[in-house]
This record gives sequence, structure tokens and C-alpha cells, in this order.
Amino acid sequence: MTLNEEYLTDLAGQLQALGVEQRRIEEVLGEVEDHLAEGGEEPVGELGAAREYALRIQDAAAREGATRDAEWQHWAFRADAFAEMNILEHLGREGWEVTEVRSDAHFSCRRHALEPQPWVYRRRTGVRHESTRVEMERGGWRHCGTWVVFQYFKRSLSVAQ
Amino acid sequence: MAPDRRSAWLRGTLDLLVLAALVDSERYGYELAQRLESRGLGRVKGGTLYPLLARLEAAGLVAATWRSGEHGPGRRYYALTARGRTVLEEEGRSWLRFDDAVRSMLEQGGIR
Repeated sequence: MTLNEEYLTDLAGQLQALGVEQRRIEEVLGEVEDHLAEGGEEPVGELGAAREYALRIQDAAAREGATRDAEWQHWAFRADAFAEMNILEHLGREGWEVTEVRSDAHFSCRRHALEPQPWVYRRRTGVRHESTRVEMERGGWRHCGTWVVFQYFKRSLSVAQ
Repeated sequence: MAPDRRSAWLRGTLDLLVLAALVDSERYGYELAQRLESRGLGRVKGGTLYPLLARLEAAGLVAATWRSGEHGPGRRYYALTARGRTVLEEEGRSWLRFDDAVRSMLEQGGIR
């Protein structure tokens, strides 16, 4: 597999994990493949790491899209336990607040369109949900969802600092 | 010149430059990057250009059309929308007023 193919494969996986629709993924991959073929550049140097590039593409559409003039923007994605904390870290920095985590690892988020506020997230693993929740809430964390053995907590960055 | 200063200028104007580069014709991403470079604006990397195009598209300032290529994987062509043209005119004029003010101060400081 060439360097470009490796990058495109990685990028496709990252975009899928972020919940980007298949048709858009194919267009992004086609555009990137065309760009790399024409410019002859090394993919990471030209576009950045696949994960970062995927997040920028996803964020660009989410930032301006859907509810352009509304007060709140909304975003939902599915992820697995290997990827979700990195995604939440990025989204939190960009002002996305998780409002719900469904049992199928479906995360719903919102962000204020005019005054986005950064959030940080923590995941706690275990089955003693209630005691974990009490302990985290004492530290200023708010529960934002549970997925199997994972409990997710959020805190606004201004509170964390 | 400090390269970070030049890149800061470019960051602040790249959306307008992309819109301006689409005034006379639709273009695909790499073509846009070449166009900007040929006008002395330096090389804009794909990692900067395509997320910006996605933002402009989501904001309704450009419209993208996907066309299958005979030799390559296909290309996404970007065209200026009516809304994009209006934003370009308004924001472009605003930039020119800012440019006038900067130029005036620099000339007052003896820079020609």
C-alpha cells in the first residue's frame, strides 16, 4: 500500500467514526486523492494527520451548517471506546457540550452559535454507577450519559480552571 | 519579512481571496491553490484550503458540484453563489477601507 493509500484508508475510517455521511466521505476522499496526485505532496505534510483533517472537515460543516442563524447548533456522532475520548476532547475545545449519550454509543452535542463555551470530558469505567456519579459530582463534574460500563462526565472549562 | 506575520494576514483574508478567485469561473481545489500562488499569495496547503471551502459551502457562499474524472477519481468544482458574491462585495470593500487606513499610516511613517 502506498503512502497516499494508507492515508486515504485512515481518513475514511476517521470520517466514518465521526458519523460523516458516506456520500460526503467519498467526495472528500476523491478530492484529497486528486489533490495529492496533482500536487505530488506527502499527505500528512500537506493535509495534517488523518484524524485532525477529518475533525477539521467535520467541524467546518457543523460550524456553519444546519442552524446557521439559530442560537444553538446541534451535532451527533457515533464512536467506539477507542476513539470517543479523543473526539470529545476536540469537540469540547471547540465549544461542543454533550447533552445525551445513548446506549448505542450515539453522542448528541450542542454548541452556542455566538458564544461557544469550551468543555472538558472524563470517562469512568465500572458498574458502580451511583457511587461514581456522587464522587464525580463532588468534584464539580456533571453526568452527561452512560454507555454500558462507561459513564461520561462534563465540566465547563472555566469551572475546571 | 517574518513568515508568521504573512501567514496571519493570509488567515484573515483567505476566505475573501478564495471567493475572489471564483468570480470569473468555477474551479477545483488544487486549481484554486495554484491561482492564489500565481498571484504571489504563497502556497495554501490542502489542509487549510478544503476545510475553508467546506465552511464556505455550508455558509452558502460557494456551491460545489462533483464531476467524475476520465483519468482521476473525480473533482469537486466550486462556484460562487449570489450570496457569496454579495459577501465578497461587502467584505471586500471593508478590507479595502482597512487597507487604505493602514497604507495612510505607513505613508505617514515614511514608508513608500
